[in-house]
Amino acid sequence: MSSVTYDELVGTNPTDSFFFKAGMLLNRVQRRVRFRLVVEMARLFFLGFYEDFVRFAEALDEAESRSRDAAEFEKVWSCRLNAAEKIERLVECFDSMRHFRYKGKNLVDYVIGDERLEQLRAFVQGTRVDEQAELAISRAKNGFLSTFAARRLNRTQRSALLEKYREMANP
Amino acid sequence: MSIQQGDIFNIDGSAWIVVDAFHDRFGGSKTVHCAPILSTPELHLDLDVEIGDQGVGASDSQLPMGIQPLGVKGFACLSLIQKQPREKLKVLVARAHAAQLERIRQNLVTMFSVFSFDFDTVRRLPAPPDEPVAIYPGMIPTARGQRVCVVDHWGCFNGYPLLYVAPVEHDLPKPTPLDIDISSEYQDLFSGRCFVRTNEFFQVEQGLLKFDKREAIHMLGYGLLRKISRAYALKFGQLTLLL
Repeated sequence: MSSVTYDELVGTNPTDSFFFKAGMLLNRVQRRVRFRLVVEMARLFFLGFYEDFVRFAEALDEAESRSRDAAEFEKVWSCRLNAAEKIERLVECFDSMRHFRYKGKNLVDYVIGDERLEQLRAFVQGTRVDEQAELAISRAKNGFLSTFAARRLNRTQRSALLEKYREMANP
Repeated sequence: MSIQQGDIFNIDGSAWIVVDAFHDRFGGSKTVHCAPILSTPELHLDLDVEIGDQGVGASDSQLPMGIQPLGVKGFACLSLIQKQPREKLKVLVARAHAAQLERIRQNLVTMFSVFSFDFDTVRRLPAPPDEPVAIYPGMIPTARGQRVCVVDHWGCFNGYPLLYVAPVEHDLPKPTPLDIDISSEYQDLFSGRCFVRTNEFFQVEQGLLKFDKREAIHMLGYGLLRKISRAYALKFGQLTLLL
């Protein structure tokens, strides 16, 4: 079993790679000039990017699971948020090109493939959901620190809780 | 009739409030997590949420046509959540007010969230001594004849006699977002991938959690516990709307 640390993860972020940047640049160019060469190159770059993305998403998940404390987790999480933000822009860019056709099929489908695009979209959506969950945890944490802190049960509460549980378990 | 978080049902003469916001996802579960509404003062604990006439009355207008609201007064006891079979949830008597529902969600996130414990120094503990061992979230003991993971942060933090645990199962054919893959830190002898099934959590008496004395206690690290906490935020929050 391999383990991935935050430091190793930073260098592998595919949204910082040459493939991604070149793909994004050519994507903008091809919106105006639909040269065959440009389309084919964009296709190659995005296929390269997608392969990096798959590896990165797996490494990210593993690094998140293996975080040893909150600080380490936050670093990995910010890396994921950053990637999701850029990938969201890429997905939006592809969505805006839906009406172009190339070689008898949809240009977006030709350049990246619908299935791959859905995977990118799922990554963005999954990150947004987890972001909401993280916010819920932060809100609860604030409430915990200001209102609850530690609240041990007294003897009466302990026995009342156990009694009620047993009563409900054996009606 | 669709069952929503905050619905209050009469089950065999007692009032129960639905706390689960995830029960109808992925094919629908046969059971729904509900909390009893009690009025015993000794059982009114810190995370419990007051369900009074005021709140319920405000939501009566949301009840389906033909449902007569009944007086429900007490507090939603979040320390005694149980799975109720869906077929028992037929007699809807009220719906919780939005503010009460929000409070329930937040308190449940508190109950299952990682921030009540610092795990920096706890990875693996030695074998438990003869006297009862301290229980921490992330420990993997046996309860009711199966491997479980302790997921109850609030209960552990405050030494409650009852704790929520979630089953640990392996090689699930169709894992959902609430099944957390823990294979990177825990594997049993015959399995490929192991999951903590957060959606199937149940409650046990702390004294009935059993540790195998022949081996070190398995304990999940911070990252996986945080993922489990996230899954509970998903289960109890309204995040399902985003899926």
